Formats: sequence, C-alpha cells, structure tokens
Amino acid sequence: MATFFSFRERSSLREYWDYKYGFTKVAEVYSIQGSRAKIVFEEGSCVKVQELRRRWYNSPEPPEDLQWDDLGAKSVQVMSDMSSGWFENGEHATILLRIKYYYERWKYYYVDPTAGIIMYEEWVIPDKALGPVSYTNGVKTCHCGAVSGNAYIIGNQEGVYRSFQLAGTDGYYWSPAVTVGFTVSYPTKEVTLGVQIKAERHYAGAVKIYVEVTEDRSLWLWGRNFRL
Amino acid sequence: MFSCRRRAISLPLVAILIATGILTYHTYNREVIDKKTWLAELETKGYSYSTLTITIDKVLLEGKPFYETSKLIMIVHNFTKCPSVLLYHGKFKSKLTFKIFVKLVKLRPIEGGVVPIVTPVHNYAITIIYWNGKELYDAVAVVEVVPNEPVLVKTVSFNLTKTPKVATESTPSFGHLFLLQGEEQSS
Repeated sequence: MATFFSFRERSSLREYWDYKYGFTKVAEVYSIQGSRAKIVFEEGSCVKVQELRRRWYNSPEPPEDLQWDDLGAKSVQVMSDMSSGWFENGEHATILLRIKYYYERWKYYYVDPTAGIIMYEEWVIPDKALGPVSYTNGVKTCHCGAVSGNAYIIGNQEGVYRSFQLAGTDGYYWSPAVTVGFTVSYPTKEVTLGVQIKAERHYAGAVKIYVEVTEDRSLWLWGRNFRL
Repeated sequence: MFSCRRRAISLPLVAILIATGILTYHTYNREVIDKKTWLAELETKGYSYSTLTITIDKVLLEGKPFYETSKLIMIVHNFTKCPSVLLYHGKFKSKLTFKIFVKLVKLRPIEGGVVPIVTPVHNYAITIIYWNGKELYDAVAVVEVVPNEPVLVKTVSFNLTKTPKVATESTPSFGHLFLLQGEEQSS
C-alpha cells in the first residue's frame, strides 16, 4: 500500500469552517386529475446535491465578482424518514429538503511558504439531508408523455394506491447524477403525473413515490419508472 | 547391482516449475479470492476496507497537453465526512492509492451471488496548482465512489485554467447560495 496518508506537509491551512442549514430543491412532483401522489425519502437513501467551489490568489479577500463553480452533485444521505405530503388534481410542486452545508476556506502555499504564491479556496459541501421536507409551487419541467413500455397498473377505484421505488437498495442501480423519475397517466394522451429527482443510489433506504387513485374511473391508471 | 541412470529432469527445475505454476494461479485468482475474503470480512465484522486507486490520465493546460507535472502541486481533500480531512498536499502524483472504510448495510442476494449494500459514499476532491512564473493555474476533480468492491479504480483528467487574481475586497460568504426557506444559522 502506498504511503499516501503518511505524506502530509504543513503547506495547507484550513483558515475557517462553518455550517448552515438551507432548503434545497431536490425533486419535482406533479399530479393529474383523479389521483394524488407524494414522495417519500427513507432513512439511508441518498439525494444528489450541488457542491460548489471558488478559488483565487494574491490576496486573502476574493475578487468582488468571483463566481462559484458548480462541481456537480454530491451524494447526501437522508437521515430520517421524510414525506412530502400529497399533491393532487393537477398540483405540481418543487420539493425542498433541509440540507446541512459545510463551508470551508483553505489557504495553500505554492511549493513552500517562502515562495510567496498563496492560493485560497472556498468550498460549500452538502453533508446531510435532514428534515423537514418543504415545497414550493413547481415549474413544470417534468418528463411528460403517456406511460408506455414496462408500465404497471395502479388501479381505477378510489383509495387504491401503489408505491414505486425511484432509487434504493431493492430496485434500481442508477448511475450517479442521473435524473430518475416516475410518470403516471390514464391511457389517453393527456398526461402526466410525475416525479423527477436527481437522486438515487443504493443504500439502506429508498426514495419512493406513492400514487393513489382519488376518483372512480372507467380507465385504469398506469405508471412507470424512467430515467433521463 | 545398482544401475545409475541420470534423471532427465532435475529436481530443482521441477520445483521451480511448480512454484511458478502456483504463483501464476494465485496471481490470476487473487482478485476473486480477495473479493471472497473481503465479502466474508464484511459479513462477519460488519465492516472492511477497500482499496481506492485514482489514476490521473491526462493533464491539460487550457486545453493543451501539459507535461511539466513535476511543477504541479497536488492537494487531496476527503469530503466524505465534514468538516473535511486534508489527505495530501505535495508533489503531483499520477496515481493515488489508499484504503477506504466500508460499512456493510446488508447483503442483497442476486443471481449467482450477493451484492453488498455499503456505506458511506466516499467523496474526494483533488486540486492541482501550477505557477508558470507569471500566473497561477489550477484545476479540480471530484471523485465519488460507492465502495462496493474490494478494489476500486477511478480515472480523472485535469484541465488547468487561470486562477482568478484578486482585485477588490469582499467578505467570504455562502449564505446567499441556497434556495432559502426558513434558513437557520448554525449554533
């Protein structure tokens, strides 16, 4: 094994760190007439949350207009079972999870402290997804279209419901940062209920969508998983 | 009387051939054996360690090939748990190998075996810095890995770009970054 851990020099310094909690968008949920849906985050599942960084040199203070760079999504563990509550009759919502973020500020000496080149780096690192779930009115950007292919019958009578796993141990092994989702429709061209989430990963828990029929209908309600 | 016949094959040669055969067998099967041992350890102890190798296959300087890697500084952070841990700050290495912790959540049976469901999802950030005598350049790569195998290999590339140089003063802050709704201040 390489002596990776033993090689550490004193030319880096964490100047400051702190943490904060913030509500962050993690999913979109849509409903259609005659049904309702909710999203459930089980303890141990993971959602993907944006990680940020910025850096500069020549002064301890950053340039005034310095932007944060998006480093992509980091897997963040859901720490307890959480549910969005039901959305029905055409409602759509942006689901927000309360995320614990860490902020770190680092100071690096290029080569050694006497060389005079000092770079600063700041990080915003999502750490954990804590309750509660919140939501705002969503922007309709879901994967729209009638369900087809490997679809499942949900039902056509009031009170019938099914849960579908979007990501978790027993179901799907999505690749990181792939948007996964779920669509529901009656076999007509009017569409859609859906969930769209850049979440996933096999872990202890799962991210699930529960769909319930709220009106007796002659047509069956169908649903299927998808990924983009 | 005794007949003295010379052996066609000497004993040392046979021993060498057998030893080579055993060694070859073990080399080819090491990965399989390691995985079995690793899974067994996970099952009995509930935790184990995987070997993560991060290979840097390419370094570019503003899109063009960069060969002066001896002039690079490399910094590796472990963001698996926060606050982060600084793993390395030193000369550029084209290959980083280290052990990472794996905790078993459960073993999921599949056809022909089991899949370990493990935690945590490991997250590392590698920053490289280059000073050309006039300007500073840097690049970063984030590696995220689920340690569900005893040996994990990741490959990353870097594209060095100019590091912003300072001008005016401002206060570091990250409070404005979130879609805030009922934001709380850390206690």
